[in-house]
Amino acid sequence: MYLVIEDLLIEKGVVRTGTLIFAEGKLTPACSKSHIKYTFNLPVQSRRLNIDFEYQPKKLFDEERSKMLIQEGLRRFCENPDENELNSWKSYMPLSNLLTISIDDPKGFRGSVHRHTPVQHLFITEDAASPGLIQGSLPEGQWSVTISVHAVVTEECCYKLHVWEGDD
Amino acid sequence: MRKWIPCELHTHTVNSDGELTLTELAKKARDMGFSCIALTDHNTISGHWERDKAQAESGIDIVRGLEWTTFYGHMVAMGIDKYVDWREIGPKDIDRGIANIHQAGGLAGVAHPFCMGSPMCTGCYWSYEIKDWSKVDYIEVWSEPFPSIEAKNIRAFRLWTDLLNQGYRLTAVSGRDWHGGDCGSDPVSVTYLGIEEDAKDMEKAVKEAIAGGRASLTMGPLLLMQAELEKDSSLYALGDIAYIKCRNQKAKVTVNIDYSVRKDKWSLDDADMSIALFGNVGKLCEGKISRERSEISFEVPLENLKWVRAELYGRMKNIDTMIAFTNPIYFEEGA
Repeated sequence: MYLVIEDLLIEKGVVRTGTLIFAEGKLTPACSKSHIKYTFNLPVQSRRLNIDFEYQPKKLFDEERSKMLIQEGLRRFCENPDENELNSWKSYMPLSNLLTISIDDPKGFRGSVHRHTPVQHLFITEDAASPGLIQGSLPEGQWSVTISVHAVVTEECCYKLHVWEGDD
Repeated sequence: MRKWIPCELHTHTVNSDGELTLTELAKKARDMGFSCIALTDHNTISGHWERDKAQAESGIDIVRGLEWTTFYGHMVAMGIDKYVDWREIGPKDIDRGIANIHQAGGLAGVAHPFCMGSPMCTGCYWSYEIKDWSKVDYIEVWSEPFPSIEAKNIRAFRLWTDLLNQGYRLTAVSGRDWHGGDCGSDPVSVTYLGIEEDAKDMEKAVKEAIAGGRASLTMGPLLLMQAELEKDSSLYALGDIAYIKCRNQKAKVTVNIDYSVRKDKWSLDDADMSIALFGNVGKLCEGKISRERSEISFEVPLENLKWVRAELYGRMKNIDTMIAFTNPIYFEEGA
């Protein structure tokens, strides 16, 4: 389902050293409320860890599918949903997929990026980090990147994850 | 002496999906008349590192926390300086999650329990199975601007009342779930917390106030209540337990309305106002009040009474609604 190429990555015609994870995956609505955890080894203390993450599609535009999902939600979440309430389904469109990233180093939590943008270029260094992530030293050892799949509403949702260490 | 400080207990910054940095948010909160906010970003504590700067530049206090933004409900961990993990907590494991929050020194609060859930708002509807409600410290009864008229909040208020009736003493708070934006002319709610005048450690003081039920919620004036038992010289305030000697005793319950708080930050329509006392036995009594009459007392029989709270009714934005309510004073038989 995904492809991991150790040490070398050919991307845009450039060979990149320091790649730790390079993966793609395809999710379905059945994957909602699950986590995907990539654990990797950082062989030596690093100066900068980079995480590129993206997923698509972000939004569900299919009206029939939206209507079904929203009305199912309204029946569940409203106390006594009446016809007016159920007919208001369009006001909840468009529904979105939501996947978020969190990071753990060998000692524990290094932050989470809980926001809605589906394309994220993230980094951690000793004295700075993308909002949500925790700056500090990047010790060698077992690290992990967790993708929390909060919701997949489209028939399929594809993600790409690229983690590498190094200066750019 | 105790003072009542206006708090916003549920906020987000750029560290999750908020619009502002913590410093910007704190300054904006100060300009709205708050003297304390809780930083409760989704699933991260990376904003905690900006706390000193934000406090220094805004002059208000910031309580560190985070909002567990999970698949089965949102829970606020209030007053923690370290991360507590939610990712391995399943829908039947929340009691373990709450214990972990407590172990880290925080309070555990159920956030907006009846907010629309997934996929409209992922995990926002509370669906965790709580085995022991006595371990939950508080519940957000009011969420978002103009909370009193929202069906989800009316339902949360009812859940809280049901839990009080079952004997649980969990505190009701308001949390706007503020992402830094504006809300036009909609009234913003405030949780006033009763803390000691000379409190040094504000995080500790805020936690003690919430845990102790010293909280009063309002979209306008500050509502306070005290009780005095017949043949007993002690005065009881919000969150206190009054030990009664015999059930034939009566209590004099006095409600105060302070219209001077957060001056010019709210307005009430010109309409009749009333104060009602509620308890586990339902509505106990009601009386009219006005701008000129800021105090009202009631005689309350204590027979079968486990708790009493005050509610203020009036009109805002042309809608007759509850404006404010207090947390209860509790009654128990004992020495």
